[in-house]
Amino acid sequence: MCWAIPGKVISVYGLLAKVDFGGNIRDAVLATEGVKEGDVVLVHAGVVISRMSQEAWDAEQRMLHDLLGGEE
Amino acid sequence: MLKGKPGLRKGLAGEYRPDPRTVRSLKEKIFSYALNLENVKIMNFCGTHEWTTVHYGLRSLMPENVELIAGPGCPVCITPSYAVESAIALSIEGFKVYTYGDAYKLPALNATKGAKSLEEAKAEGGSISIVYSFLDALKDAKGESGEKIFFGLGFETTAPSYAIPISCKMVPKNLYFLSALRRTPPAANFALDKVGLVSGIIAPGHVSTITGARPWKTIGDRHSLPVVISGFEPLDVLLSIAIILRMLARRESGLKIEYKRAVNFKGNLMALNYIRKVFNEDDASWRGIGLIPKSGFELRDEFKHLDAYDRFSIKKTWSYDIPNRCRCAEITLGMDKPTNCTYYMKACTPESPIGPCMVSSEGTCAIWARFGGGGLAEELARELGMM
Repeated sequence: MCWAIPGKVISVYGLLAKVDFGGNIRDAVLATEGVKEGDVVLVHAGVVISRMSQEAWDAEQRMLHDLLGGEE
Repeated sequence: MLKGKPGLRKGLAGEYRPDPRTVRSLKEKIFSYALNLENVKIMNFCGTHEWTTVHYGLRSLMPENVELIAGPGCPVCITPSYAVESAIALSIEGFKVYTYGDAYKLPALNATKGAKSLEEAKAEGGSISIVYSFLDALKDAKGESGEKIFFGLGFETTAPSYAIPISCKMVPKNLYFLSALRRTPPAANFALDKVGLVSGIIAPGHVSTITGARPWKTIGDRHSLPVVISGFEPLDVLLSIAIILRMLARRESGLKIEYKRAVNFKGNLMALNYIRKVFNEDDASWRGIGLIPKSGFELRDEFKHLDAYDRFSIKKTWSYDIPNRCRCAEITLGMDKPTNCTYYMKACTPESPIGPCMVSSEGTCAIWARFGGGGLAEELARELGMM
């Protein structure tokens, strides 16, 4: 039940966003502030629950890299 | 960013299904951190983590002294039988009941008007509609006459999908909300107190997009455990395990966020505001477990006119609601394994479930049944000479 699917925001209008899930485009309710066109968001049960950040993604990659001791 | 890797927008799945060398390197790290540790038990609190663990055979990559345990992470499994029985009764009385596909086959303890699940209720002439979201139910109910019920299961991840339309007064007057919404941190505390001897926690990533990391830090501090909030790709889970083992090897406790791309410390403030506006935290029953203080969400007085419990005089009276000899209660708390249940894959299968853990795609028994969590991956690996 806690599955959430990442998709790319095509447009934002009012409380809703149009989100592209690999070609399948669905409306989703915005429960996350600051969402804009081009953002990658997580959608659960028709609701945008999180905006995914490139900076945080980079930090995750560094975490992996650090743990592996630069072996990657 | 790692050399040669595309960024977030170019494809998430590709990033987390990397070449086998990364997984081998992580496996070596896991073995190296675990080398001088006593028996380690790492508990997850999300059915999707259990799904990733079993689907990708991650248990077969663990050293002998590292055990991965599934905790209470499936909202369908812990929905009390009285709520299922109420939904069945209402549907057979002619009220349309909306719910998710995961709850459709969920067996109640007792038959109600000849039906033990909403699926059976439909066969008995009950009115049931499976929807993807609460919003779909709103649209449908608006166009129809007659009173209807939304059987609303879920954890914090799902709560905003109810709270926003309720708060924004989008719910038609003929639709009532039957809440089986539950909060995960109180159940995590309960499970850790009950099970004991857990060495580390993989905390739920999507719940944490809403709650933030804060409640999991409190849990880690209270139990002096390493806690890692993890994403759901196999590499996420392996990395989280490695981080927990490294913390244990260094005798550290506390919180780390592995799923940084979606989770922050404070949580989703907009979603939390909606949830607080619409719901009170209340003492709630969990199937097979009983009452856990402050572990549920009930509608605030301002929205009580939408409450199915009030409208249909449904009592939240819990008594032990697991069938005889079914081990779902112990499995949900991480105290037992599906393969130790006498019903598992004999009388109880995903096609014909007896216990609630055999229904949902996040139920431990259902996951093990579908992907061989009872050691099938290890058996196959041995046969192929990989172990």
